Amino acid sequence: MPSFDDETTTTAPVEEVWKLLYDPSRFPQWWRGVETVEPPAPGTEGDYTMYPEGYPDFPMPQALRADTSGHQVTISCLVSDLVFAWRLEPLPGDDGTRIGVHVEIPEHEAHRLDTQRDAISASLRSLAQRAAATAAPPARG
Amino acid sequence: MAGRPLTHAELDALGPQPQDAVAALESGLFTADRAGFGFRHQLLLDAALAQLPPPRARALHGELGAVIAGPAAEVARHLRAAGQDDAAAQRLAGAASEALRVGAATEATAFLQEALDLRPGDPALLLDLAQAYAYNGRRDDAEATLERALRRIDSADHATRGAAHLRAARWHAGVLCWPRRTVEEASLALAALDRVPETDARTIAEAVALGAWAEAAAGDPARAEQLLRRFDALGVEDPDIRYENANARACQAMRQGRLEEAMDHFAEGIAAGGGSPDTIYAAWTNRAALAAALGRIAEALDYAEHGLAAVHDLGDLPPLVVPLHAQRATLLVRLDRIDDARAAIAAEREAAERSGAPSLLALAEHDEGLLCVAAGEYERGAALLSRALDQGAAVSRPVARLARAEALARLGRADEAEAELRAVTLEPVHAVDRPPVLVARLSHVQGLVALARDDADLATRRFEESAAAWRRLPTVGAGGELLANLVDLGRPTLGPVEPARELDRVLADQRRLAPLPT
Repeated sequence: MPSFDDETTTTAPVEEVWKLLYDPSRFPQWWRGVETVEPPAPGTEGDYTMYPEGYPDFPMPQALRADTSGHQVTISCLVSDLVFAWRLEPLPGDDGTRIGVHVEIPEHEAHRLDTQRDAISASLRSLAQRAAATAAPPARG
Repeated sequence: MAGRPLTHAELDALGPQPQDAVAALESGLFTADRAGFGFRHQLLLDAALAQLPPPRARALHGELGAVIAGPAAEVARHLRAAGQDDAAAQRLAGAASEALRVGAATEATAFLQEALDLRPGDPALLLDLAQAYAYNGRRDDAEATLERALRRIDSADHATRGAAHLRAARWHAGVLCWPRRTVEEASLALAALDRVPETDARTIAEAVALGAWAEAAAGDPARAEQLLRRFDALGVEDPDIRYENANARACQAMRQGRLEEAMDHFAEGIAAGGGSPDTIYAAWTNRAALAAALGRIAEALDYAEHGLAAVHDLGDLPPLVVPLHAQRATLLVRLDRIDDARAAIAAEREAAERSGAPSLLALAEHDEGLLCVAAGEYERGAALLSRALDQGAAVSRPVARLARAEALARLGRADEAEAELRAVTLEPVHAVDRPPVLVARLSHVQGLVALARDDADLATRRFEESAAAWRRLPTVGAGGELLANLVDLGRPTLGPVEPARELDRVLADQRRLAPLPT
């Protein structure tokens, strides 16, 4: 199965990245290619529905789950079967957060590997910047 | 020998021995009245027993075991003392069944453990014990004991294996409220029972209905629909089974967001008249959860109280009483009846203590902790929530940590509150947690932490962030929220998340930053 990994760091504490990762309604602010996000319609699968940029008539239900350690949140597209596993790790000395992502692409979507790599790289850095922008100034004293 | 005075009927059943009885009375050691015949004093009885040669004592126990009309446990003790182990084990199983019927799950467990001492590894007794553990809320023990029982049943004995899986599906669906395991057990039951041509339609219908409920709650809705169609084709009219079918249809409607229809199905289930404590509990508590989700809090409270009354009549089983009291408490808080909520929580704790089950005790600590935070008793709330988390209470851990962080922040313990917020981000998150709700709450508590540090600018930003997050959330939770509680936590929704009320709380804290000019 085609896959790739990417990672970056941010000066933002883990809480600020966590808030952006766990609130799908804010994905359009940092996830390239995501135009809008809506709560799931009753009777539909998934935790939220994503509409890709330029395709307002193509609802794509997504599932969002954290692993048992809580260090990783996995977002799975229930239509295309792409899986994005995001990892958060506080940097030593509470000096920010390392954000990693592992992406798995099913064989039938393998042709999207390069575009996904570019999109996720840009999204990762956008996530880091946005988290840093919303972070509190360092505690005084 | 009998350990108590014998009734006249029991004495007669021992055979014609008038001379013996007269001699015994003339000795002055015995007494006889309208109630029965026995030693004058326990010490006399003990002394007499100590002098009996063991073979004679065994023979007398055997005679008594055959004739006394006492509870099954008493009969079993005589049979055991007579060396009739199989008969004693059978009576102990009967005693356990009697105990379970009146909600004495702890006593039932003890009887079955004693029976298993006599017949180690007996699969029927192991299954009974697994059920008794389930009724005591001891999920892990129930699972392990079920596994032991299944290992003892021949893999080719499909009828017995199917019946065992069906029993397990029943307690997973009912008292343990664990849909994912019910899916597995109902499916295994059907796979086995479908291989036994003589299985009756009622048994198949029960497995189908339980499977449909579990698929609707936590599995594949299309599979649930298939099972519901199979149920209709079986045409079974038994009230208990009709209840299960109504329950499955209610869950399917909840899954698809048709909450009013789901309430109607639960009402049908109650009207069907099935009599088991689990089913009555489930129908009332789910009706209450649905009414609360629709914003009809007083009606929800009424349903929860009906549920408690019904469960009370059936023995006050702790695993059923604990969540009902918790649900009442949550609804009472929502109605600002804090003192009544405290009474409900006290009753919840009493039921949990009666069960002795650590899982129920941890739940009671958690629920009381949440009440304390809601009532402004932050010190006690923080302590209780900390204990519940340490004890591994089956609750939403991120939600419990956020409540604890709020309590600490409101106490001015900003560093501890901040550490608790960090812990929130390291907890696993399930559907029941509704991640956007966690985000909105976390921002709110961050605002309170900033407030505790007199950082008005940061507090303002965090409160605005939280308010925006609450405004983005839909007003009424869909059926999915209710089902997520059953699936992830194994208990009904105590009270729905109400974004408008949460927003009001944030705005109230925001106003503390900008007091009106006097």
